[in-house]
Amino acid sequence: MVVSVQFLLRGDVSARFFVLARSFPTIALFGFTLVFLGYFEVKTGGYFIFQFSSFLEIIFLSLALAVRTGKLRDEKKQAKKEVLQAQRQN
Amino acid sequence: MYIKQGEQGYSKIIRVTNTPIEERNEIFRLPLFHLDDFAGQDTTLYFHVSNDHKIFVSLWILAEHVFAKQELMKQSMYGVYYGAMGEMLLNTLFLFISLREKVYLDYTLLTFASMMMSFTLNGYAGLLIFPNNLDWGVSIFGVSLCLYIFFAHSTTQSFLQTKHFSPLAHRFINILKVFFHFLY
Repeated sequence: MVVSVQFLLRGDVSARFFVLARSFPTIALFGFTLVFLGYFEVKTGGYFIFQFSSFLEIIFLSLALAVRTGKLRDEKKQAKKEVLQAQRQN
Repeated sequence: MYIKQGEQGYSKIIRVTNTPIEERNEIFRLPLFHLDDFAGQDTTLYFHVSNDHKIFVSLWILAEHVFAKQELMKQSMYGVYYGAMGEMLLNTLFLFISLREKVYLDYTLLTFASMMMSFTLNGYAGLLIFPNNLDWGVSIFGVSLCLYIFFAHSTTQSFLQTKHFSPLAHRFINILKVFFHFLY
């Protein structure tokens, strides 16, 4: 979490989704601990907290990967454009 | 399960078998008590649980139709969850095969570890994967938790490319990965 927040502060857009993805299991594990320590009582739905959080984590990681892949593709396109421009000038 | 009988003490009304868990029929492994005989009565029942270590026991008292409804909802939810996660797993596996990027492999393994951890949390792993080996049925939770933490860290490293952008963080995550395995 700390490392991803550090990257988010550097302005990495995909890190935004990554931090969000990582926060779901962190919150769920924290909630689970509180339940086990007896601070909360859960109904049947509460037992799906982990499944729900891991599902959301995977979804947001997918989004983060999609943003990252898109960014890499754009960078590649830009680099190609610059090479072509340089070739034309020569 | 016990019921108090005047001043004489307690009498056993429902007995859970003393047979070792691995020798029991699969449907009797998770204790389920039928309390039909006490329907409509104001009865105090005692449930004795003992263990050498700390133990968390959830006790639910439900009407049969509510229990059936909840079980149906649980099974449906698990079906949706494992179906969706399985689809994601295959999807990222194919992405890894076509793109050959390590981050997709880590992501696939994280999805698998996440599914395994969830599978052990609800007891299905012990029941379905190791039905005749209680030790493995219990320790699989620790193993899947370690795998989950390991692949979560690996995904962080490969996704954020910490090796190039933050070598210090990369080394710190490596230490954490080793630490969690020794912890287990």
